[in-house]
Amino acid sequence: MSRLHGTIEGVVSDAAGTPIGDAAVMLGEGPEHPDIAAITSGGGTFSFAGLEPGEYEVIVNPAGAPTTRVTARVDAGRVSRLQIRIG
Amino acid sequence: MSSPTKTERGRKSSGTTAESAESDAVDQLEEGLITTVTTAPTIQVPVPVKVFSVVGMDEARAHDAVASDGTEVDEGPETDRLDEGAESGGVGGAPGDLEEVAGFDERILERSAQETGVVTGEAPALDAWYAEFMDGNGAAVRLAQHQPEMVQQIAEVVIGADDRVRITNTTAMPWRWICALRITAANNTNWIGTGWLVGPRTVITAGHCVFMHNQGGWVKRVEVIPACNGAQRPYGSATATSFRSVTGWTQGSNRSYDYGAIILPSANKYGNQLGYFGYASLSTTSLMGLTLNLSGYPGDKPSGTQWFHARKATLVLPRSIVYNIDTAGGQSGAPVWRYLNGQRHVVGIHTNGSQLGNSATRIVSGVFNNIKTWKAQGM
Repeated sequence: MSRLHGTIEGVVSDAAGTPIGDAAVMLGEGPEHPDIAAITSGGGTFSFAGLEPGEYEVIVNPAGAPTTRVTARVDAGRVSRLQIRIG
Repeated sequence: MSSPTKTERGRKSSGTTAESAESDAVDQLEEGLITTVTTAPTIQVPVPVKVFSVVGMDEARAHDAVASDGTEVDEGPETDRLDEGAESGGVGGAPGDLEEVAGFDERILERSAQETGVVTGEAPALDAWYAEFMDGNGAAVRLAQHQPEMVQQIAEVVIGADDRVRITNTTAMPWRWICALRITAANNTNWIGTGWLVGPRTVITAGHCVFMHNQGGWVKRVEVIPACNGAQRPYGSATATSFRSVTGWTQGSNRSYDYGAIILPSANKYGNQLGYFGYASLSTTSLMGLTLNLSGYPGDKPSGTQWFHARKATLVLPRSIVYNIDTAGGQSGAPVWRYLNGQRHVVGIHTNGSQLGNSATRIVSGVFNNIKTWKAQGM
């Protein structure tokens, strides 16, 4: 990982803690970033690396469930880990 | 209307490359192919994923082989010449027309017109209202409590309410030329992007949709779905394993070179069936004040649905175009096009989101030339 950039990674799960796969996860407001969306793995995981430091909105859009937005701070050379529970 | 000095019609694919080194002060145009689908669309089933059959050859090596056939094109110093030309004046710009999309509020353009005209210098002052801060989900509230300065900064640059409009008739032009992308990276993670047909088998997209620096480099495969409309795939899909980008992106990670192409399998000549976009390298003068149309497949909307928005550019830089068109993750690679006198020319490839304005890789002469080359490779 670049010392100048950081990473947001996380796990999306339902209220019971069961991982949610195939959910779209993307970055919203924040420093400039690629406008691509990740699809969570079967384990509910996702990762965005190479991010400029700053405050990001993380948008999670699971199929059949409301869109959820959280904020995450990225620091250079650090990994911000999120546990996002839907519902 | 600007006066193109180079025009190529339809599928004609040769004869103008050598001329493209001329100054960016003149516009370059390549017109798309408009086809009429008068019967029920032909359903094309996905073709099997191409498998590199060399024993022991991993995906990276396989893509290296593709690269040796021209996957990476070094634009070299040509870009600098074009940048200089872009700032030396050019043909007078003419406002483009807005695509006719039911439900799209054209008053948005009136507001954005007041944001246009900034070429260099400070970021433009934008409208300062954003509904998300009012929705009570807690995120912004926490931010306000702990970092009021950050909230202030964001609130000053975020565009107003989400007024994107869903495209429901995706089999009509130009919407059917826009493709949802399902990307499988080298490390087997999955991603959503957008691309657009520029020829029979060539789909243009962001460089980071075909070469992902933090996911193992060249992607393994991309499923391309033209005119995707939710769960509907009116023309089926094609899975591609042949990709193109430039070394400025693959080696330099330079945002200015964030563009690439997908070459569809030979059995999937979608462009011949559906038509495809033209593209243009326009001078800075021509781009200023232009209505920019953008449509793609955002991940924050129902899966596989296409969404449209349009505004004018807020900033035209040597290799990028900045605008307040609403986008979301998944729209990387979407076309940013001018619609003028019935002609559609893509002038930018959407790549980035930012609180300071979303942006596209600008089609300057070097980009124009590579798109032309890649188009020829997918004839």
